[in-house]
Amino acid sequence: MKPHVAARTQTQPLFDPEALARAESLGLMARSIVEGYRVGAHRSPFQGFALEFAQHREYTAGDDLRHLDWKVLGRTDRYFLKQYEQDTNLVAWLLLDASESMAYGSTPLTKFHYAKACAATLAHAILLQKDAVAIGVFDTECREQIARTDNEGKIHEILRRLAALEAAGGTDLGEMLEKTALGFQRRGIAIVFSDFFEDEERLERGLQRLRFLRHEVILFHVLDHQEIAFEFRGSCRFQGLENTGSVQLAPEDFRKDYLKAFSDFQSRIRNLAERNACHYVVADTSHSVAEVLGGYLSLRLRMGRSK
Amino acid sequence: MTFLAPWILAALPAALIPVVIHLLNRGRPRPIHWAAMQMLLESVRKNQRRLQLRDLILLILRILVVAVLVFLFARFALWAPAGSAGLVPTPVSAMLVLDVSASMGQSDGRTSRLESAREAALKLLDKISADSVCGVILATDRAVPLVPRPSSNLELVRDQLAAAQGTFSATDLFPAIERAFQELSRSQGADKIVFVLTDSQKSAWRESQPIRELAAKFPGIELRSVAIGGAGEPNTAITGLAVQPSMPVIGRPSDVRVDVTNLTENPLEGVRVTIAANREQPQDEATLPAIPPGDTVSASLKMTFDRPGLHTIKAEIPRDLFPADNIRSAAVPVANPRQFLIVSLPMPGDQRNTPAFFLQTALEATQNGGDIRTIAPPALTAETLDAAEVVFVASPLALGDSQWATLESFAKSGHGVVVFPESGSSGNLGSTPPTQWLPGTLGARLPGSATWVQAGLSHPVTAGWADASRTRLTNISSDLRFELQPQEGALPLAADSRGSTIAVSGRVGEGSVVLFSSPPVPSATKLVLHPFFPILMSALVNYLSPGQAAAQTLSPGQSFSTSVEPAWVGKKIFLESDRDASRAEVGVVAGEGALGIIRIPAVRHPGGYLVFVDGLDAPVASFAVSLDPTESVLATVEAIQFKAEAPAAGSVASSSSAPRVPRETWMFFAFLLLALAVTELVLAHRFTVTR
Repeated sequence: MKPHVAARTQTQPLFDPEALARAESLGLMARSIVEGYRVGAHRSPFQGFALEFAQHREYTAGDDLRHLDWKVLGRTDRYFLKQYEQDTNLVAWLLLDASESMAYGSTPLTKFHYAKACAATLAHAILLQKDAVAIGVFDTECREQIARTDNEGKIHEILRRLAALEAAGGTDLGEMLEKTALGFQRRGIAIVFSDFFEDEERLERGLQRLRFLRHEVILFHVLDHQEIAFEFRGSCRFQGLENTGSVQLAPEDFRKDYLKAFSDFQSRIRNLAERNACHYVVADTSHSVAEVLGGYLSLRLRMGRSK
Repeated sequence: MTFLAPWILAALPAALIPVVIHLLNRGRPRPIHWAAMQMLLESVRKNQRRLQLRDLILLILRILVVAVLVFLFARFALWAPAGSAGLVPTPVSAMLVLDVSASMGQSDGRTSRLESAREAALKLLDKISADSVCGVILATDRAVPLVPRPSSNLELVRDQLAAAQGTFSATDLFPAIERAFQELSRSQGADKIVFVLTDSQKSAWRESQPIRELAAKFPGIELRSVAIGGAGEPNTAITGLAVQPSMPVIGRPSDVRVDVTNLTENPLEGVRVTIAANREQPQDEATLPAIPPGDTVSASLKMTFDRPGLHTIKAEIPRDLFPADNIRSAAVPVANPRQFLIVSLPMPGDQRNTPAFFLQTALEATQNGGDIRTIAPPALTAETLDAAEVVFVASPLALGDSQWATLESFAKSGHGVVVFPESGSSGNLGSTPPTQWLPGTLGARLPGSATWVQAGLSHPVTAGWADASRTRLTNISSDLRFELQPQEGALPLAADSRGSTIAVSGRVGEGSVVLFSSPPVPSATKLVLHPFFPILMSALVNYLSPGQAAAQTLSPGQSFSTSVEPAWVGKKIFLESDRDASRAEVGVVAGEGALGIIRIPAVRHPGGYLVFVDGLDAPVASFAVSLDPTESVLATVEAIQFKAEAPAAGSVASSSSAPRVPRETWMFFAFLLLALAVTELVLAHRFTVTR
């Protein structure tokens, strides 16, 4: 991480009070059924023993007669089994890209700090609703891993450990996703915070692995506003982070083509997400964490109700 | 190409300002650590070549805009050939320099060059804008302003041009051009032009370097010439007229030499030359058989005067298209026979070896026709000197103090004395030599011989003695001579190759004294045996003779003045020309101290003139006004090299080797600047829009 970038990020609070309030009120609703290790607010894919009736199914030979609906049999003289939905708690894996490119920020707020703020907010909200959260921070390797926990009291440790992290090193998010996916023992929600400045094929392979394991994947594309708008003026020397070279130019001359290239890049990431049935959320650091997370969670809640 | 305001070019480095700005912008970029380099580099790869080309185009355009702006202010001009430079109908400040020298009197058979120049000047006035201002200066060998400062009254200028008269003066355009530049430099007008209407005679442009420096000094003023006439019509001229002896004696024929120059490109044959005196019928004539092109041939004629006093003579050849140089006049003072006295000791033996013999022989050869007496030194008294005009002393050792005093009084009263040392002497002139009034002192005898030199002499008798038909001074040598130390103020008459003085003259009262360093005997000097000796004696006699005013020869336009009897102060002065019999009153005799002064200002017309004072029948002075021989050479300059010189529309005939002129191209540069600026703006805007 570049010294000037590191210096200005030390003072940023990870919790945005507004964001935290929104996240707590909305909760985090899993879009799909997840597997939990304790009873929570989420539907379990393991139907049968749960508390809420789900549906009837015609009896077939070999079914456990304990689940036979005797009332139906008495009224209709037909054999139906009662099926139940078992509520289970959510496991959310929060995966943060800590490569050097995340250290960029046109304002004192860097992308990495923004990502940490988002992750901390989500972690707090998830723990509040009695779900479990696990955090992994990567560059070309795993830099930090916070084990799965549903203990609300752990939030302070999570914050402390996130705050100690800085963005540095290269990127190999795809590889890291593949490796991490292997460690997930239950299906859950993988929430990835990254600028995705890396090899897109490898990224897709990582996502495919997560999806193969039937995890829900949410991609937060963390971008600085200048990366989106490119509103520099005068003569500038752009020094690439992650040793990507340097170039001196008048930004106005290249703005149009840069914006097109960047728009193409965003489209590719978006398409990549859609191909792999992942949610894609643009997290523009010029917008507040509350705005980004609140917006996404509202959308997610509406989507959950509509099912 | 040239620049009319070249000092503005010092701002040309400003054209590099866009480059400097470009480099400054490149040199201090804002550092930005950037994450999305992949997209940025992709954009750079795609656009770099196009943008470099765009930047290069804009940079060149901006440099050109500044450079063209500088060129515009420096008044870029292209050399244009004669005839292509027209006048723009914008107001100008102009000075017309009209050549009115003698050569402008040449005619092509219908009109003179002056008339053509006047016509061309009037056409120029028609072409310039009515808002212009214009002045007129006439050019001869000096500047004569007619309309000294640029005037907005162009009608006045036209009237003055119409009234401008030709002169017989020589031409030097520099004074008039300098005056015109000075006047224009003080005027406030925008376009300042000096038009020189001249026949482009070579002699007129002889001060080309000062004119070139003048044009450089005033770069904001254009100098344009209007070539009048062709390359020069055929011309035959009398370029010299001389009488020998210069003061003829009545009743004795004098030689008149008339120099005729052929200024045509073909040989001339049978040119008839006549000579006449005082408006009388020609006394003599000669026909020159052949004059090669460019050569001068002299005709020798004879002339006899029947009365003493002042005369004018006039030589003529047949008239041609430039008649001013077909006549030439001279003023000739004619003397009565003179009385000479030789003071020499009688010598025994052959009298042909005595100084008296050689002096008498030489004086007889001067054709004075006067009385030549020889006396012994003891006989020298005031009485014996009474009738003499010039005394030749060949035996100074025999003179006593009283005789030296008598000679001094004689000289002071306006007579001439010539003193020779004695061959047997040790070099001194006696026991009490008159060192106070003699022009030098004689010392010891010098060893060896000494040869006279030709050059470097400024004495009226020997200066310019270059007549090869008579002799050369370098043919004369002295074997016996004494050291001659000139007195202060004395004028050396002859010298040897080592710079030692051989003869010296000086003024005593109203008379003159000449002292030789060698005796007039063959054992001392070959001079006395040489044909040059009588000529030298004749010249000496003319130099030393009293009572005759020296005839003056003036250039046209010069003033004549001479001193006369104080008793004539206040009397009217009349001038009589050899062209007609009438006498014109030209003023009165002025008094100046104890003298009367006759002043006749600015005599313009060539010819011989006699000056009369009211109440006297005989002329009291004479002079001649002669055309400058260079005016007869009508050839034009081959190529005028002045930067700012130009012909103007309306020249009657341009020289075939026309001068070049700077034609200002501000309009072109203004359009170019506008085009460049618009292109730069459009491109810069387009590039900005397409960013």
